[in-house]
Amino acid sequence: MDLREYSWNTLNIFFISLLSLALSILLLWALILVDQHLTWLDDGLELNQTEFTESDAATPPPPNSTWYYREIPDDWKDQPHNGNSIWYRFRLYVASPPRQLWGIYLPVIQQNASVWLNGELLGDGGSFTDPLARNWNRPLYFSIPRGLIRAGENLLQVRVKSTGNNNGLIAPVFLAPAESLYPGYRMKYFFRYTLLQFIILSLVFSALLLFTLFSLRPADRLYAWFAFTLTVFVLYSLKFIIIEPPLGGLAWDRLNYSALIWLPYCSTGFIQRFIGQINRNIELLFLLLSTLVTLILLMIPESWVPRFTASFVTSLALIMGGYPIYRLIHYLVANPRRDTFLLMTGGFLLGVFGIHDWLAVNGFISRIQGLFLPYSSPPGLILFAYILMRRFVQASNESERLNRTLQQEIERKHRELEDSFEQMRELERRNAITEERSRLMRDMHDGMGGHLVSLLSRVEDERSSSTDIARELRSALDDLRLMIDSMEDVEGDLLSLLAMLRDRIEPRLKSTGIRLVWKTRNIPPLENLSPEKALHILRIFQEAFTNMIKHSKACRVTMDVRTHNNEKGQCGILIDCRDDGQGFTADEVRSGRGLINIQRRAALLGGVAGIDGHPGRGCRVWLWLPVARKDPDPCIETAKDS
Amino acid sequence: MGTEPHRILLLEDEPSTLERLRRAVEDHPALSVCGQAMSCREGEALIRSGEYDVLLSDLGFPDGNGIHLIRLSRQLHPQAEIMVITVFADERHVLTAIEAGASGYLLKDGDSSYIGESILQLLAGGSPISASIARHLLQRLKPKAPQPNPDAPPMTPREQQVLELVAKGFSYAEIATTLNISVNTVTSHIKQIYRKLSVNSRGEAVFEASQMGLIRPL
Repeated sequence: MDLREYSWNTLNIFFISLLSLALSILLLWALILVDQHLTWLDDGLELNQTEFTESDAATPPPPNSTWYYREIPDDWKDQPHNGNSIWYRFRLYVASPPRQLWGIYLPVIQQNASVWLNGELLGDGGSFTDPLARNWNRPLYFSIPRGLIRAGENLLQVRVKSTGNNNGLIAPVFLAPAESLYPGYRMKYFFRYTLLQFIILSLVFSALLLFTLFSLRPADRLYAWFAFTLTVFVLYSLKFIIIEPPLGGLAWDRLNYSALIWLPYCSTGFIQRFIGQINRNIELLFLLLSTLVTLILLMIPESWVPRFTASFVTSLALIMGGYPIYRLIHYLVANPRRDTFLLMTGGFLLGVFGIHDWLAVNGFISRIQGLFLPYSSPPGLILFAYILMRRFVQASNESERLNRTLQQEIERKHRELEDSFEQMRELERRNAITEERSRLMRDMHDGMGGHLVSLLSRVEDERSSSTDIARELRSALDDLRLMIDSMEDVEGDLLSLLAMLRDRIEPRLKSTGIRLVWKTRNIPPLENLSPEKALHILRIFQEAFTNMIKHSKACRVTMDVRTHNNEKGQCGILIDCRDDGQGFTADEVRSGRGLINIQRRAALLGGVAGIDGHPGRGCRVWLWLPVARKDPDPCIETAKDS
Repeated sequence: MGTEPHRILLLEDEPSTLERLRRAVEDHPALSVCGQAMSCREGEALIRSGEYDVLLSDLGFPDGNGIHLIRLSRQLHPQAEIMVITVFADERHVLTAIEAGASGYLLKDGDSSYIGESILQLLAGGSPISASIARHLLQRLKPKAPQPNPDAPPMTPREQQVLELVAKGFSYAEIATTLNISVNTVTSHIKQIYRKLSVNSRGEAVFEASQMGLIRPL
C-alpha cells in the first residue's frame, strides 16, 4: 500500500472518529443544557432552604416534630437520611394574596412526592404504598387553588419517598404564577417524558418488525440479535416512562437492571454479526456474566438491591458495553466505508451517554439533570434501520441481477443443449446412414451382386437360353423387391411382413398352378425386427417358394404362422411352409446349399430353421423365432383356411 | 368375343417397356391399345383428344410427372379406369397415384397374362390392393396431431377392418370368409376406400387430402 495514502487514510479516519466523538459529546451537552434550562426556571420563587423530618405518615407531621435544616437540592446519595420517607417544610411570607393563579413546580423528584399547602393536599406523583410510584423523569406541577395562599406566613410541605434511604432526591422547588411556571413544566414534561414514550414505543415497534423479519429469514441472525438488543434496551428504559410499576417491592428494579446487564451481551452479538467478525468466547463470557448477575439480582435481599445495582451492575454494564462499541469503532477504522462517520457517531453516542449515566448514578456528577441513555437510541436506530434497508435494497437488486444472469445462463445452456442435441442427431443420422449403407452393400452383394454375376456368366455362355436369362433377371428383380419390402417399417408385425411376400409370390404360384393356403393367427410382435432381420426372413421363404415352384411339382402349399413353444418351453413364433409335392430324400437336403443358407440366416435371427422332406410326401421349410412372452395367450385364430 | 375390345391408352417413356406392355395388352383379345405416348406432352395431348377405357401410365417422364396426367384423365374422362405402371409397387408411387385418381397398379415386369388379367379384373370391378399399401393407408388413418377434418369422408369401421386384414396378407376371399361377407362386398369396400382417397378437385387433391388428415406432409 502506498505509504502516503495509508497515512492520509489513517489521519482521515482519526479525524472522523474524533469528529463523531465530539458530536456525541456535543449532543449530550446540548441535551443537558436543554434539561437545565427547563429545570432551573428564571421566573418565580425558588425555594432552596428547608427543614425536614423523617416520617412515614401520609399526612403532614405535627409542627412539634424534630425538624432539621437542609439546603435544596437535597440528594440523599450525598447525605443519606435515616428513613425513605422525608417531609420537607418551607415557610413562605406573602404580603398580600396573589390575584393570579399560582402553581408549584417540582422539576426533579426521586421517586415520589406529595405537596401540601397550609394543610391542604395539592397533589402527588402517584402511589405512596407498595408499589411506590417512580417519577424518574416526570416533573411534577400543582396548581394552587385561589385563596389558599394567604397574607402572612404560609406553610408548604412536601413529602418525598424513595425505595431506599440513599436514593431519594429533591431538586429545586419553584413557586410562581402559573403562567410563568406552566410552559416550562410542559416543555420539561414533553422533553423528559412524552418524548421518551415515543422513543420507547418506536423501539418496541422496531423490535417487533425485526423479529418478524427474522422469523421470515431465520438464516439472518443479525435481525434477531438487533431485535434482542432493542428488547433489552426497551426493558431497561421502561422504568423512565412507567410511573406505577406493575411489580411490588423492588422486583421492578431488579428487572430493569437485569435488562441493563443483558444489553452489552445482545449488542455484542449484533455488532459482531454486523461487522462479520464473531468472537464466540467473548459472547460466552458475556452470557455467563449476564446470567450470573441476573441470578444475583433476583436473589439478593431487597436492602442490598439499590447499592448493588447503582455501583456494581451499572459499572459492569458500562465495562461490558464498551466492548461492542470498541469492536465497532475498531472495525470502522480498519474498514472505512461511506457511512463510517454515521456508524461511529451511533456507537459513540451510546458510549458517551452510558458513561454520563454511570457517573450520575454513582454520584460523580449531579443526578438532577437525570439519565440520558434512552435518548441515545433514536440516532442508532434510524442509522441501523437505514443500513438494513440498504442491505435489503442491495439484496433485491442483486437478486434481480442474478435472475437476469440466470435467465441468460439458462438461455445459453438451452442453446448449447440444442446445439449438442443437433450434433448428436447429426451423428446419429450419419451413423444410421453408414450402417444402412453397409447393410445395403452386404445385401446387394448377397442378392443382386450374385444374380448379376450369374447373369453375366449366362449371357457370356452362348448355350444359355433367353428363358434362363429371363428367370435370372426375374430373380434379381424379386430380390430387389424383397429389399424394398424389408425396409418397410412393419413395427415388428411379422404378418405384415409375410403379407408383402405373399403379394409378391402369389401371382407366380398362381401362374404355376399352385394353390396357396394362408393360415395365420394372432401372434405377438417381434422385438427389434430390423430391416436386416426382415430381409433374412423374407429371403428364407422366398427361396423356399422359388425352389418349390422350380422343383416340387406341388399343387398346394400351406403357409402356417402360429405361436409355438420350443422344447425348452421358450415362447416363439413358428413359420411353417409345407407343400404336397414330390418331396426329396434327406441326403438331397443335406447336399444342397439351401439348408445351410437358411440355418445361417435363422442363427442370425436368433432362431432355428429346418427343411424336412420325404420322397412322395412333400416338403416342409420352417423357421422358429423367439419372442418375449408378454401376452399370456396370443394364440387366437383370426382367419380360417381359404 | 362379340363386343368391342377395351381401349387402352399407354403412357411409358421407356421404349422397350412400352413395347412389352403394348404386346401384353394386344395379346389379350379383349384389350387393344388405342394410343401410346412416351412423354408428358404427348400423353396430355392424347388424353385431351382421345377416348379410352383404361389409362396405363408411368409416373416418371423426362418432361414431367405422370401424376399430372392421372389427374387430367380423372377430370376429363371420369369413367376411364387408371392404372399406374410401377417397378416395385412401392407405397410412395402407388399412394400418390391413388390420391390422384388411379385405382390400381401394374408391375412393369409382369408377364403378359398377369398384365391382361389385372386390367380385366379392374374393368370387371375388382380393386386390387397390396398388403403394403393397405398398411400405409391404415397408418394414415391413425389419429394424429391435426385431427382429420370432420367434413372429410371418414373411413367406416368395416372399411378399416377390411384394410387391416389386407395388410395382414389375407386375400379378398379369405377376408370375405372371415368377416362372413361376400367377396363383392370386400371389393366394394376397397373401391370405396379408393374413392375416399381420391378427391374430385384435381388441383387441390394433395392439399385437401392433407387437410383431411389422410396425407402426412413430407
